[in-house]
Amino acid sequence: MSDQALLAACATGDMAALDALFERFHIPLYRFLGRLLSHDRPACDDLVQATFLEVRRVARAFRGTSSVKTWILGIGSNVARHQVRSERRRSARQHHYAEGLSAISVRPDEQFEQRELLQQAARALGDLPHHQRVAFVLCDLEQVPGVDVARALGVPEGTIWRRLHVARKAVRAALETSGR
Amino acid sequence: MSHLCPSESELSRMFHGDLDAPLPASIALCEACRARWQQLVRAVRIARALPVDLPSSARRDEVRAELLARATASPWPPVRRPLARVVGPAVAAVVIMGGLALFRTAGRSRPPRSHVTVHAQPATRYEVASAPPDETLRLHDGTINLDVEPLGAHGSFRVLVGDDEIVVRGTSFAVTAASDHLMAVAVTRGRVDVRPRRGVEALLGPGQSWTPAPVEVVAPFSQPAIAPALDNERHRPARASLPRAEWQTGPPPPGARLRPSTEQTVAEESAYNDAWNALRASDFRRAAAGFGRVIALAPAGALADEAAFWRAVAIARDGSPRRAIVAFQQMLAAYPASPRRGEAAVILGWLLVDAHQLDEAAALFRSAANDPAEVVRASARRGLAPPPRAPERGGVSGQL
Repeated sequence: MSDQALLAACATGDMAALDALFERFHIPLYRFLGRLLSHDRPACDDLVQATFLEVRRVARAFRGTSSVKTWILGIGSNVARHQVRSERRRSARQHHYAEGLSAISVRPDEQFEQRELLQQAARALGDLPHHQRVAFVLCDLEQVPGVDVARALGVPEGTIWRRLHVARKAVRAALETSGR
Repeated sequence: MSHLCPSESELSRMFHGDLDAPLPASIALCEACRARWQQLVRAVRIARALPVDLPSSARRDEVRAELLARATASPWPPVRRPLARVVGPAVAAVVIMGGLALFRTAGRSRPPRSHVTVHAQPATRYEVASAPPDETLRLHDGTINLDVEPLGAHGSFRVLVGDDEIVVRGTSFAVTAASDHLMAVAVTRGRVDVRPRRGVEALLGPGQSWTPAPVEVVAPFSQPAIAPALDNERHRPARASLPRAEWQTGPPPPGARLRPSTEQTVAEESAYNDAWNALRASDFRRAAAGFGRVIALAPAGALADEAAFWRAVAIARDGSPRRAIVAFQQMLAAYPASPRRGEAAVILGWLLVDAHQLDEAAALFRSAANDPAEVVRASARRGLAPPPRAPERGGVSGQL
């Protein structure tokens, strides 16, 4: 069944369709929300559920101007914006990146350098305002075309490019400042 | 004609996320522009290297189960206040007078609430098939414990497992399934009607339980048609190389680990033989179901750990990596002393690598690093080796 057909079935209250949508899109949603929230795992679980509940509630509103996946990620972005606010959580999230590196071994010096760079990137990403972070994560990390992102979020394409440019500049500046 | 360097935003607009794309022709010959471009690409490359923390399959199943439970409990259709305001008096009257079947989107009706509390054990897979008043769950794998309030004359609750059905009215009971096959029903309180598609219907009372009838014995256990080469260490067939090649192993040789036949043992052996033949015939679903029956017949029997291992292999070869991950995890948890644990650990490790669960994969590879079989140890070493760096292209800096 196509993504659109599943969404249409979900709009009628079909639980099997909701389950199938979860099966199909929970990984990209986890990846997107994880990058957005610096991998605050309990928050991600809650937001994934809240996103799919919202998808079910507003499924009728899907107009097909973007892919279903991007539309769901856009809903996830809005859900995240409303639910995650605490600065204390942001600090805790940034710490988590240092612990999240793979346990599969590399040379110790390479591992240290890599860890430093990733921490800088994580900090820069965490410091971005929500809208800029969403644009950067969707366009540059999830590699969703900007025009698709714009349609899913309901904003002009120029707005997405502007947010993306500012986000890229901030991340680039943070990495250059770190001297690497 | 002199080159006019683009502004920062113009340069940014030229980059569409392809880290390996060649520089745009308009800036390729300008050193300053090339440097700015490389900084941009480098920043995105580093950000993409940030680890992605995906949930384990057990956690994913918990989140899914909770999502479906919350969705079932929430009102449907969703309340749409703006629509209610614009509905005219005549339409509203029809709704009030019971046109619920025609005008459900008006948001004035609420479906009956669920009378069931579900407690799913880890790695259980189930879904809500229909909402109250005729509530139905479909159980695929694992065990759910259910508390069902008295439903009254017009409510019903059923659990479906494959083609089998369990119907209840106000009770506490547990249902266990494996690969869409009903394995057990146990009643704590109330009465439960078990209706297997094949077999005799059973009405269970408090303290009673049900398991499927043993497989009918057609002939005594006979040696499987496969005659693989054996290594001397543990009577194991020799294997093809790893990490993701098809396993070319066989069942244990006759007599190596089998007890003298009793009726139950013969049933186990016959079921095992059937499942193995299905695996050889590449009927992976039938093989997985067959090995599941072996486990259900005798969870502590001589063939149980082998059956659990081959069930997981069959599921993986059926192209269901997420279910295979769960099956291997169940096997390792249920049979930690199995001689197959090393093989199971490395297969599961590679499945988890594919699922980007690198930490869990590394732990499994480490656990298999001292396995008696060299091919298992070699696979574990490969799993723990650092990944190769992708070669740099197109003038992008060699550093991250």
